[in-house]
Amino acid sequence: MTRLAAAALALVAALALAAPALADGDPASDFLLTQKVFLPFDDAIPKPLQGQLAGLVAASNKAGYPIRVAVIGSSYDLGSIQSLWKRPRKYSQFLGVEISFAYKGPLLVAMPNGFGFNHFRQDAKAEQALVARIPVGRGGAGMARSTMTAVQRLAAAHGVHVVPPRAAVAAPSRTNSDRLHLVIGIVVLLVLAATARLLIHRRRRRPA
Amino acid sequence: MLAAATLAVSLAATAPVPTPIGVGPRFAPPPRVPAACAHGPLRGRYRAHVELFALRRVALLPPGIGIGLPREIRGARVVAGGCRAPARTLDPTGVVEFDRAGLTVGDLFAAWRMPLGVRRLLSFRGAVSAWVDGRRRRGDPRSIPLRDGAEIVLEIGGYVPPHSFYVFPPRGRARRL
Repeated sequence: MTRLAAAALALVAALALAAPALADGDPASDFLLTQKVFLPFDDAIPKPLQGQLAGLVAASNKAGYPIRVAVIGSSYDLGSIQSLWKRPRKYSQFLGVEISFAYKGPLLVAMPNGFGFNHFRQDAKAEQALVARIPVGRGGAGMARSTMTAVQRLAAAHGVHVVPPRAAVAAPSRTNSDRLHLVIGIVVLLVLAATARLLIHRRRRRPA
Repeated sequence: MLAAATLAVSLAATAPVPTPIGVGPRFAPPPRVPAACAHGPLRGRYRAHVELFALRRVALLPPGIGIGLPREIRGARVVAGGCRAPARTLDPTGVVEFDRAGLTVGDLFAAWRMPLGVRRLLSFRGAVSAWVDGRRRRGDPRSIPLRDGAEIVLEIGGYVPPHSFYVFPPRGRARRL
């Protein structure tokens, strides 16, 4: 009995001494206070898809289904909260508490192995089941497309139908390299013109 | 039983507990125009992560600390500014960018133009506790050196178990200080 009591005491002491890591150590919580979408730091998602995802989330919010989205593409996007990497459901609950003073609505977390959904202090089993059926595509583009599908289905489940905006086709931008080619071209033309003029001049001066 | 205790400890240690971000402007002071400011790239050669807790709530380091006007902001990130202080923030994550050794947490707060001392953190008063890489650091928190890769936690008005590390997103090669 004494040994049992001592062991129980040891357990209590061990639990008391264990210091679980506390937030704020995850970047998404800081971004989602003011933004509706958190995207991976490594820019793995192509820019047009970033715009489409942001546009879709904005459209959903505007149409009556408020939602915020965190796309966690790598463990770097979790900062100090590495233990929640590839645990999207747990992380969505964690994130929901962190930002609860500013936002208490639907929150979608995308990770390469699945989605997590949280609605602060609300029953979210139906939504979690819905997003759990959506496979996450490979790579940044795949993740972005799957996340858009998840947002659309969640919104549709609440009677809101939204579509991603068409990807903007970026106009070819004039880069430094373009400018360099232009300058080289002008210089070559000038040299050719000067050479031609010199040749013509010499030919005229030559006695017939 | 000892095995059970060990398991419980390891489980507790790996289950993070969320700390809500504090409500109100005291927990989210805006960036101010730094007194000392020079031209140069905004991204620093080195990075440290700084976390602030007051009354057991998160206080935010805003993007734009140490960045002079005009600031260009995309999303929540500062992408351009009129000038830069030696220590600065570009996004709201608490990552502090800097370029040389010898800078301290005091330099960061000086660039922010917010109070920090042994008994003062932002607008909060009381004893300030500090941790670097999970280890308690006594003395004036202003003297804590900014070191590449450091995880610095300052707390006032209650204890929040501090993180011992922060995983920075990779970028280029930087020599460690």
